[in-house]
Amino acid sequence: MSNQIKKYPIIEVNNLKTWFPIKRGVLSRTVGYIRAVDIAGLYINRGETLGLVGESGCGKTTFGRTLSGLEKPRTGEMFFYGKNILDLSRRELRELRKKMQIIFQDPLSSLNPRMNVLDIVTEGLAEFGKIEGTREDHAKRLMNEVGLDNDAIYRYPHEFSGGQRQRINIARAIALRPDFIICDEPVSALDVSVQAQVINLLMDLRDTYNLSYLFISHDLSVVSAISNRVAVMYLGRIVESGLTGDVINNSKHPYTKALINAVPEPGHYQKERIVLKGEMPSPSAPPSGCMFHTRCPEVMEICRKQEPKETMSGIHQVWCHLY
Amino acid sequence: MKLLEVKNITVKFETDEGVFKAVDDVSFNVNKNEIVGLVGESGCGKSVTALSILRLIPLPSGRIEKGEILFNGKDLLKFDAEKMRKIRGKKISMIFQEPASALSPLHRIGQQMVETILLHKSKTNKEAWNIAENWLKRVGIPDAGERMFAYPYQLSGGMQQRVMIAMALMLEPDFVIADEPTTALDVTIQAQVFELIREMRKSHTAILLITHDMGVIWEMCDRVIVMYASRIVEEGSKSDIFSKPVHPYTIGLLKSIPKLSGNAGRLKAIPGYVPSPYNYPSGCYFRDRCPDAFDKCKNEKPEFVDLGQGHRAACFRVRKNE
Ligand SMILES: Nc1ncnc2c1ncn2[C@@H]1O[C@H](COP(=O)(O)OP(=O)(O)OP(=O)(O)O)[C@@H](O)[C@H]1O
Ligand SMILES: Nc1ncnc2c1ncn2[C@@H]1O[C@H](COP(=O)(O)OP(=O)(O)OP(=O)(O)O)[C@@H](O)[C@H]1O
Ligand SMILES: [Mg+2]
Ligand SMILES: [Mg+2]
Repeated sequence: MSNQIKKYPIIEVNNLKTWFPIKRGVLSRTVGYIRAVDIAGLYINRGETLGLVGESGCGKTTFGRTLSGLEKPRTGEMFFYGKNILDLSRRELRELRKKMQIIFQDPLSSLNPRMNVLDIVTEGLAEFGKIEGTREDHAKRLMNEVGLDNDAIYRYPHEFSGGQRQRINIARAIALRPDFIICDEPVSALDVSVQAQVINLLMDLRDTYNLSYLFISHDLSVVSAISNRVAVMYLGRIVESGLTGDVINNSKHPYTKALINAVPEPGHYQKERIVLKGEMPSPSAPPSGCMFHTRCPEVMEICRKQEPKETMSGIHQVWCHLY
Repeated sequence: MKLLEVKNITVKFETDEGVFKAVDDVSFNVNKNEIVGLVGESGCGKSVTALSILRLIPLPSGRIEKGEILFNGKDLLKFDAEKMRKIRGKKISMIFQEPASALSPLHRIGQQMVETILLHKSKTNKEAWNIAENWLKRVGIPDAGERMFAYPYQLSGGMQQRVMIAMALMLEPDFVIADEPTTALDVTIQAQVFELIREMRKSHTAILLITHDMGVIWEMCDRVIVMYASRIVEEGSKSDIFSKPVHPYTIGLLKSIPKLSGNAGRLKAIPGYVPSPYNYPSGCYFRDRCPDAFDKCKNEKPEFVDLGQGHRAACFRVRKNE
């Protein structure tokens, strides 16, 4: 069951900051930082899907990579089943790798071009001694689960189309039957029909294995289809979060409203789309006060000076001076 | 005015498991100033069609078996390698589907852009640098000056995609093939990129826009070509395809568009899977998944039925005057 109030969190994050140094000159001096992620607090319950949306470059992938240990945070805490990931021993980290998987955004660069699909999808299984039947059989079952041909297992990544490669990625991620999968734009390379199949597949797997997902996407329609809760990110921070229905139908933050308004409706002319004006500010020199004030249609004096605190009504949270 | 005429192109791949057709007898035109959309299920041959226009089908496994590709009336398939190199980038450019296949991981993006400019245009280093930086700004990358020094891995997925877009547009080619150019971009940045593409069109650039996103097709295209399993199944003006689709695959595709809603729930999908290209069925390739299939679909390949005004579909259920 998806209990949306923080109840049985599989993931909990506090004050997490991931920054990248900007280096210049022959001595590679650090001249500044790209403040990619700055998250005050976020949780994901067992069996729950948290959708993470936001503009390109706002820090979604970096957050996912930090959670899975691929980037080191500057400060902060990240709990997996109540244990701080940053304190884990080597053995525990290995165990974590089995339970937490990531589906990467760019399927081509995340698949080893010299390995065939059989080896790609069963590599982890072999490492943890989890192969059932022969390696071929197991790989073929995985192919069926993601809707690829059985004979695909003998082919190499470059022999597939972009969308097929993404399904190989998904097969690899679900192979070890993890508890938690970070899905980074898992369906944006897929056509709508396969997209629907893959989302339905992810939902079925969630229900069968009580999986939890962090579902990263820039596409609100896709996120709204699969997520129990949605968090909206802007320039490294969460600006609004809540139940999917509340965030979509009763959005509070002007940024969320702009995002929803900009969703095109194919086949309909009537909708007047308001597209956000102005550029996304630089993450190496973020604005003072509220991060969004440079582009906000409802900006007030206070927004330029003071960072907004969270306003809560139940589990619907918003970081905005309007509330 | 026709800029590109693709005539009966067939592309075959030879792999360990055998030979298959990735593109089967595909014909279409792109006029000057026109934005033509190419949609279809993953693996149906969209990228291979695009690559064949630029003669970038990977050798030796792949080859263009037959057909002609006329660009301004001249058959590109008859050009030698040197002539083709001059066409690529300058006359016809391509935005590749995956950044990893177009950007070198070892070089800073500014350097990559400058080199491309210098290869095709007589500019000084400084001028080329300014052009490149200006294009990064135009595709909405914050801190463009600073980002010129970044390696691809230091950019987000959407930023890499925008670098590729900038690289494809900065030489102001006559024809741009955009293969899923905005998959990593959110709606606001998408809108910005589309605005750029529309501007390019005003200065007579034609675009073949490959996408699975019907929203993108709706926003951008004049005409739409729908492919299924290596063949074109329907083609028409945007309004024909959206309001009077006739091929059951097109109809299914339109029904699977996810809608923005507050309730999570299963999405409508076309039941079944695309057949394997190694053993396509006889007759119509869509018949196994088609709600309207009948005997004839099993035995014969459906030919195009002309529905007037450039609307055509390959389906036995389609009648000329409905
Ligand atoms: N280099 C290759 N070697 C062998 N087969 C290939 C090669 N490139 C593509 N294919 C196959 O050709 C078919 C068409 O691929 P293509 O990349 O054109 O699909 P697509 O329509 O662009 O799909 P997507 O929407 O997933 O990008 C697929 O079955 C694919 O597996
Ligand atoms: N390895 C890195 N080194 C330096 N900067 C990085 C690195 N990875 C990401 N960044 C920067 O961090 C910021 C956030 O990037 P991230 O990839 O997390 O964005 P995103 O929200 O996933 O965007 P997209 O939707 O485009 O994929 C960007 O400014 C990016 O350039
Ligand atoms: Mg990303
Ligand atoms: Mg493709």
